[in-house]
Amino acid sequence: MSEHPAPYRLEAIMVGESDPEAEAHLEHCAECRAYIQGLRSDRSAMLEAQPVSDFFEHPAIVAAFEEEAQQGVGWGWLRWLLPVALVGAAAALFWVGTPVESPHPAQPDEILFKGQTLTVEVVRKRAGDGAQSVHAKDIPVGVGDALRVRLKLTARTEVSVGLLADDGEWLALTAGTTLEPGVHWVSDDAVAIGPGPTTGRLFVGPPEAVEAARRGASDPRVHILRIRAETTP
Amino acid sequence: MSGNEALNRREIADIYNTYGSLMRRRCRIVLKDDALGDDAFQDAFVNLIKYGKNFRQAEAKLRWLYRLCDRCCFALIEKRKKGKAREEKYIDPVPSAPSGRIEDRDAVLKILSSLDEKAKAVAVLAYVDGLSQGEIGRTLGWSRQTINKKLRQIREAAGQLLGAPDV
Repeated sequence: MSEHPAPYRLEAIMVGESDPEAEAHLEHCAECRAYIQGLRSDRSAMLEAQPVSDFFEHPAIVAAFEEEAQQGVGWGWLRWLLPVALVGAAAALFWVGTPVESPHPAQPDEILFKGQTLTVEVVRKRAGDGAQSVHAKDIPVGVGDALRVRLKLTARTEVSVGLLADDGEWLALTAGTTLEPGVHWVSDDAVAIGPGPTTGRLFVGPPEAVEAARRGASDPRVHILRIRAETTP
Repeated sequence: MSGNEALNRREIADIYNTYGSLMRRRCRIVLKDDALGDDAFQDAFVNLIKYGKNFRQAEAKLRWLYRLCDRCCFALIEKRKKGKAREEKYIDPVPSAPSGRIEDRDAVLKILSSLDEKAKAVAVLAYVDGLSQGEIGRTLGWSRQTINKKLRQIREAAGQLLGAPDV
């Protein structure tokens, strides 16, 4: 066996894993240090040629993230919310588990596509007093608030619902789900989320139109609701 | 973040930034092909996104990721066996590790596709990573007897291509 540490041990040191014996060897071995330096150069070259933002754009990676997000509808929003940046007050959101009615419901927004009517509402439940309100466009939220999405359909329709964070991260809540006429809640799961910065937009509409809209296309069939932090307590 | 949840984008990005180049290099070395290695590297990340939550608990994280890469490489080797043979197209930009025996490594990688799954795993750990029999046994959770048997199988398959055994 060579006196030099095995390649694997040097590679582990390069990524910060502890190996006192190999680290001691490195102090007096220029050859092993050169190997680690070569690995570092290779890493720099790769990250320069293909930074993680580019790697994440690869169709297979995009599909894997979207598939994983769909697996976790309900809980998925928890994962989406944590890294989202927000200027101003922090907000915490969670899906509430029971249908609620607002004492003063806002006029829900209606969109038409393919001769059908889709109504989208978001019910917000206040963290402190539990007061509930219905929102159709702009949804101000505070820490501990709860949100739930309600869809009303007049005909059998294929619908996608997703959240686009302001940092560009996308979470598909439902993707191409065919719904029967009637009222549907996007998720019946109760998901509690700790305080965290949140801001983004909710997209609802035909799957292909939602896909295009979240990438910047304008499509009247897509309903977009803004989730924003409250500016006043 | 719960340990039961899938890795999030930030965790995946951290893995890419920290371990990505080593993972990609390993895939390219094992498959002896840049393009094919990059396919395996990408497959490894797809698996990581979907099933990688156990990475959080892994003690030897690089070892864990290398095992994932190896499985993706072996899957591509099996696919490649059914297709046309390709010319090898990989030159490692990193200078050889001082302890590495590149000729033996390349000899074993040449016959990798002829080995069974267990022998493939042992071959990579022994001839790419340079691990001892004991380390291979601990990594794979197999007995020394099994490791010995697989190493004999690898040497027989590689035949005259290999130098004197030292693992």
